[in-house]
Order: sequence, then C-alpha cells, then structure tokens
Amino acid sequence: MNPTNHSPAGAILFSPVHLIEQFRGHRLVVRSSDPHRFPKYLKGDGLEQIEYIQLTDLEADPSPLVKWKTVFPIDLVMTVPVREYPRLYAFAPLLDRGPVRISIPVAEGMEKAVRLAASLDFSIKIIPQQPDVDQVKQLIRLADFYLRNPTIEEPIEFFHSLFLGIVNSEVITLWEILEKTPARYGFVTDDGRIVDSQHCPITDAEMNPETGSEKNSDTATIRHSSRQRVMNRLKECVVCPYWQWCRGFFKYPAPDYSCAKVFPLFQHLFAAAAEFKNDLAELNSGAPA
Amino acid sequence: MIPPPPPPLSLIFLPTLQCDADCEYCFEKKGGSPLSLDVLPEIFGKIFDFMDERNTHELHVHWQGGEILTLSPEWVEDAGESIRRTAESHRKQVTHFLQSNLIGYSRYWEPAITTIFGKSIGSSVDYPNCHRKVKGGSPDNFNPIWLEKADMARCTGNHIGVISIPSTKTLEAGAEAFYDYFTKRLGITDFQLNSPFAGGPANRVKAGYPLDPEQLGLFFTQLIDIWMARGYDQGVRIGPFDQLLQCFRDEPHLLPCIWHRNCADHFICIHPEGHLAQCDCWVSSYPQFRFGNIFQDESLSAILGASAARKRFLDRPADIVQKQDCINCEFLGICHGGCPIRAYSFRGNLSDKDPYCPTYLKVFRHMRSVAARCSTKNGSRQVESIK
Repeated sequence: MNPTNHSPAGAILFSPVHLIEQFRGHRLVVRSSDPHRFPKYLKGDGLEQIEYIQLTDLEADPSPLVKWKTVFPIDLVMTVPVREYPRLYAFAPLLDRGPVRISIPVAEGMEKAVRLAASLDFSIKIIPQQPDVDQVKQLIRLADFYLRNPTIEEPIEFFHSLFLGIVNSEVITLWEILEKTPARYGFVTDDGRIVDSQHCPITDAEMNPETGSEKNSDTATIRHSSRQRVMNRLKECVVCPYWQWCRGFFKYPAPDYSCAKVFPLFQHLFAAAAEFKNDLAELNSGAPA
Repeated sequence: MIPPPPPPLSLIFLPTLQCDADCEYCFEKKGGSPLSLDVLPEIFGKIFDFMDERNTHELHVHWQGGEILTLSPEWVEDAGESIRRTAESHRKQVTHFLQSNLIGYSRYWEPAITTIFGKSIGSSVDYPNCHRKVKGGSPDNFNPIWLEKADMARCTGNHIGVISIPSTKTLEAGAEAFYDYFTKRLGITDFQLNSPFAGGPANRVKAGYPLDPEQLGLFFTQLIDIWMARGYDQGVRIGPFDQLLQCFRDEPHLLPCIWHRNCADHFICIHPEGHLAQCDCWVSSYPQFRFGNIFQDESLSAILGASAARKRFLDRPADIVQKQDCINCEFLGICHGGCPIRAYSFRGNLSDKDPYCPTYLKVFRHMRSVAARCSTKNGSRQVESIK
C-alpha cells in the first residue's frame, strides 16, 4: 500500500506504532495501548517524522516510558474519565521528562479529570463531542476554573485557543484546535487503511473556501456559496453567530444535534473575552481595574 | 527532542541516629550505631544506578539524624569524599545539605561544612522554646546555647537557615513577637515554619497535636503580613510563604515536600542500618512502612518495585482525590492532600488528607491576595488577569 495515494499531501497521520515502517516519510502521530511498544518500534533514524506519541490505555504501567531514554511529546488518551482520572498521578513522573497532554472526552468524570490533570500541570485537550446540557454546564465551570485560576500553568484546549482567538479576533476553528480538520489529519486503522480522521459533515472546501478547486474565484462569493451548501444540510448553522469558530463541529456526528445546548458555552467564553479585553484596556490606560 | 533537565532525586541521609538533644516532639527512635563508611560506595552505587534507570542526573543528599555533629568531622569528610568518588564514576551530580541543631558545632567542623555543605547550615529554633532541649538540659537553656554556637558559625561566614515548629505558646505570643525574636534577637533572615505532628512514640506534648488548624492559620497570615510590611523588601525570607508568593506570582518556585504532587516520586530515606523509607519521619519509628533494606538486593529499583509499603505512598494522592474533597479544591495543584506523616500520625490513615488543611487553605487564600496586590505579572499567561 502506498499511503501517499490515500492521504492529503502534508497531512499528519494517526497511525498504530507498529505500522511506522509503512508510513516512513509522513508526519505521524503514533499510538499504542502498550507502553512497551514505543521503545520497541521507535528506534533508529527518521524519527523526526514523529509529531508525538499517543498512549491509549491509562491502566497501563507507565514505567517503560519513564525509563525510555528517547523523549517524545506524549498524548495520554482517556476513554473513561470517571475510572481513569486517579491514574494521572501514576503518569505524572512523565512530566519530568517532557511535555505530556491528556485528551479527555466529555463524559462522566470529565470535570474531575480536567481538574486533576490541570493541577498536575499536564496540558489538556477536552474533546467536546455533542455535549448535553449538564455537560455544557460542566464545561462552563471548567472554563472558569482555567481562566481564573492562577495556579493552572498549562493550556486547556479547546478553551485556550478559542478564547485567545476571540480575544485577538483571529478565527480558529474547533476542527483545527482539536486536530480534526480532514485536510490536515488522517487516521490509519490498525490494519493499515487510511480513513478520514472524522466523518466530517462538511467538506474541506466548504470549511476552507479560500483553498482547493475554488481558489481562483471571488472569495466572498465562495464563502457565501460554501456556507450555503452546508446550510442546506445543516439548517441551524444559517443563523448561528458562532459559525466561524465552529463550522459545523457540533453537528458531528449527529446532524440533528441542537446547538442551542452549546450556545451558553460560547456566550460564556465571549463574555470572558470581553471582560479580559476591558481589563487589558484599563491596564494599558493606567485606569484602576 | 531535547528533554528538560529532570528534577533531582532527594535522599534523606541518616548516617546516625545518635543525638545530643532530647526534644519532646521528636519523631525519631534514636540510638544505635552509625553507618559504616565502608558501605557508602555500595549504597550510593545502588542509588546512582537507580537514578540511571529514571534518567535522573542530580542527587540532593539531605544529611539529617539523629544529629550529624555527633559524628566526627573526619567521618563526615571521608563520607563526603567517598560519595564524591562514587558519583564521579557514575557521572552524577551531588549537592549536600546539612541539618544540625549546632550543639556540637566547633571550629573543627569548618573544613567539612565548607567543603561538603558550601558553608550553609540548616538548623532549628523555636519561640518560645518549650520542647527543644539539650540532652539532660531544659528548654530554658537551649536557645542561648544555640545562639552562641550559631554566632560562632556565622563568624566564619556560614549561612544559617532555621526551621521553627510553632507550639500553643507560639500562638499565644503572637506573630509580631515571633517575627521580632527571629529577625532582631537571633539575626536570622531565612527561616521556615513547619507544623508539628505526633510522629513516633506518644507523649504528653504530642497529645496536643495537631495544633488548632484555624488558630495556626491565623498566626501564619498575621506573620505573612508582618513579613511583607517589614522584611520582604529587606531580604528576609520566610518559608514556605516566600515560595507560595512566587507560585502565585507565576515565578519560579520550590514548594516544600508536604505540597509536592507525590513525595514518593522524588524522595527516599536511608537509615544507618540500611533500611529504606519515605522520609526520616517514617524510617525509624514506623518499621511497618519501610520499603526494604538497601543491602537485601543488588538493585534499589527492584527493592522499591517490590515494596507494598512504597506502593501505598505512591497510591496515596490518587486515593485522596477519590476519597476526600480535595478534587474540588482550587488549590489542589499546590497541595495534593498534603503530608502523609501528618495525616497518618493524626488518625492512623495514610489516605486521609493532611489535618492542617484548614491552615493551608487560609494561608493559600491570603498569599494569593498578597501576590495579587504586589504582582507585576508579565502577562505571559494573559488569561490570568481576569479576576
């Protein structure tokens, strides 16, 4: 199999570590549930292609990674936060060697997992897949926990990039923050097939109308037509004030998900950003905060 | 990628449990023979091998006791040289720290203190002194003897830092009298306060521990205010408040072991007979919590890996966040449930949080507000400005 025929040029592939030879020459994120496999397969030359490694089992013994002389950034992928969060202490010694991120799904125990991971100085990626009302309340509490707690050192995504994007008026989409943009990330199955990282409800051209086959057309028209095509499928996005940040992210995987559930989170982040900008303006003007 | 320098391993090194003091709150089971110089290469060789496995390059050796100055200066110098040679052959860096009550100090100690400890001594004084005694003496004459010895040591250029343990009498005397005693009477500009606990054999004094956490917290916050008003800008340092201040100001800091994420990750203690334990609070008085003996196996890693007692320490913070309310605490990241010996000596349960939790909360909140008032944050974490 020639992966170059199946993945977008320059894309980062999420591959099982044992398939590294098959994907030499690609930028890779390699994963395994077994920490022993990383030292076993990541040897020799050409390892600069590795962006980071992903350990997908937090019940595993971290000592092979602690003892490993080679250091890569590590992403620890939680699947059941309510069960796995206490395990973070066992993995904390990895922080003495290099950067470690915890990827945490929005699921039972997420709030505890995020609080503990942040308290241990792990960086964090929260994966907010179509949260329910209660989960959105938890996300709002966690956003405040992150934004207002001076002892939290490391970024908590997606809050961090979204917040700074809003503050700086620089659009960054949730797809990009969460490493799910189809044009940039590909997923390699355990048997070596490359599939889209997600079954994204919108196409790459729709998400990024400035690129692709429509790049020679008038950008504004393209943006309009691209959005319109999405809107035809995802009616709620037509009037959505957060479209440019979201680009239909919360319509994945169930297009009938009601985004009204996540609006309070966006509203909260926008209000916090406004408060922050106001504080900055007062600080710069010398006025009392 | 080039990994960051890993944090040092800290060895609490007890070459002797002989002591010339008889402090009523001491947690050690004292006595016995000192460590033999002959075994030092084996001990430190195993420690350095263990560090190799963990990719750790620096060892901090905290010389405690017992009382180090009950050994001979020659013994300490020879030990320092032996450790240096072993470290050199293992390509490890070693930094030594001395904790001494100074009773046995004389000029004969200067070569060892200079060569091994870099002319720095950590010592201990209380105010008012209720419980520290020279063996056969009374609390009344401890501080005068200490001050005489400290002055001798300072005359030759040694830096002396002090640990102080508050008592109910300290709380009654108040923060102002306490601060003045150390800075004016003793001329100490670098001191640290530790909270007392009932470690080791029970007695009348320890029956009064822990101190009232709220009262202790109030005392600490008052002391912080006095220090910030009078001493901070003059270079006076009071631990752990100085490190907390830096923590809340987002500056480099080193919090004391009681607030490490897991003291079992970076600390180990060795007894004169080779017993291994979490720290000096455990090794002599709680044999059931020993991790093993360094002479029982070729590999320290194997000894520690097989130790059920060490696993209990490693698991403690995870137990605490599941069983206690710490997971919802805004200061979890700088406390992690506090000190194991303070928890265990209070209720006999290692998985309890530190009984001084209310003290810490009061101090953390107060220090955070102090930091906010005097902060000139550089904005590297812009979002923190939203308060």
